[in-house]
Amino acid sequence: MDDIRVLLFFYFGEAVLLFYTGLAMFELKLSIPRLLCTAGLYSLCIWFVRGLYAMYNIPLGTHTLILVVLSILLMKFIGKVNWIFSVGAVLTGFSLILIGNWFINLIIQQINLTWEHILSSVWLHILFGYLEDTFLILLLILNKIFGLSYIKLFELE
Amino acid sequence: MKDRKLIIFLNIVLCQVFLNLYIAVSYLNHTLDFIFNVLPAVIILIVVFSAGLCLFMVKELLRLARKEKDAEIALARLEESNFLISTLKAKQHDFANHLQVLYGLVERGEKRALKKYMEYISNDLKTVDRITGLKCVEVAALLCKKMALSENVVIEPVIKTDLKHLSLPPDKVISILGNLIDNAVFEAQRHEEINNVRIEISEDKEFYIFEIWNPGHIPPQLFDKIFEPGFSTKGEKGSGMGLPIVKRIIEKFGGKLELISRKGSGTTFRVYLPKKETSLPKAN
Repeated sequence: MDDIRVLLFFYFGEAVLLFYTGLAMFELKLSIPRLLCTAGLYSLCIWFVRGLYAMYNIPLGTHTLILVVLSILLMKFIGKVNWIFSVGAVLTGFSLILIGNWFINLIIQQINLTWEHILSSVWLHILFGYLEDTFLILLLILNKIFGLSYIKLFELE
Repeated sequence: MKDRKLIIFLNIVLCQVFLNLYIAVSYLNHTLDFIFNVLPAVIILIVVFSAGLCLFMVKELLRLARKEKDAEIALARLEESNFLISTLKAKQHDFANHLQVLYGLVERGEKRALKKYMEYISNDLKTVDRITGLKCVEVAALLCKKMALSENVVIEPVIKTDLKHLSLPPDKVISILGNLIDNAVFEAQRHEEINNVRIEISEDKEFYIFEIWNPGHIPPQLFDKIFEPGFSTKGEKGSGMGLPIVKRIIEKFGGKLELISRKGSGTTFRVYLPKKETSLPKAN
């Protein structure tokens, strides 16, 4: 299992970003208690799934698909968001995380680091985790400052 | 509704984008090296996931299409209600004229004419009252429309029920009644002596009964033929589709259609439309 500090300082924050930004693209908002509850449960899911993968020596990668499904279910049943928006919000968030992961891999290769080294250090794990969420944060900023959303982009009602 | 469809399509696109990104990143991170050992299983998993999502989206699209249809029916109901309101407003104006006539007759002391005129207005009022009392607004609007627009033909509605528990959707009822009334009006216009059409709406335990009478006559050998698609007694004016459609709708919803026609007595189409099951009296 990952360090508890990673759960508290990274997984939880990423979960909040993921749900908040994803829903913001549909001009939707969860109440603070519901957002925190959903994010909290999701961060526990990440922690648990990654722990299982480590326990059974399964290489990470397929855990993403499991987490996508779990986050959609959490957003639907805990966040009480319609299926259509749950799916759209989660896929938006995860797509941005994957793009972030791509860029982080390029950076890691440049600075001669490895993921094993990063994951073995709590604070490096947290730092690079948030670096991976750069595009998610960027989209959130664009949404807040310029009102960027799917609704405005496609002139939906 | 249209926008929800767009959001669903957007979700399908997002799904494809995510899966493509996932495969690309997995390849770069060499997690696919492991996946190659179980590649068929992973491909099946991704295909199933993708297909499941798409099927769900299609199901949502179909649900939205149904809702759109319901909205169209609701809009049609609204339009019919608006027509009914404007017809009734016209009637209100009409009654102002009647009052003037009554006043004139009272002034002149024409008691007999006054009594006759009041009887006529009273019957008219009862008819309007019965029509507006119908719970199926579309039927009320249809009757008002037909009464207002039929040239040289007098439509006499006799309404003995309120159609509260009619099981058919309103658009189907309108399709049935509209066709039958149009045919009846056409026959009444052709008739040399009698130019009225009688529409009686009543009920029994299980059915609402619509009787549309016209002074025309259908020979017995044509009783089955008139329900065949393409056959019409109207010559070039008829498409021959009205009665077959009426019969099909009635049979589809568990109703009955009877035709009675005798020379000199006119023709009656009697339609039985079922009531809603919850409205029927319980066995115990």
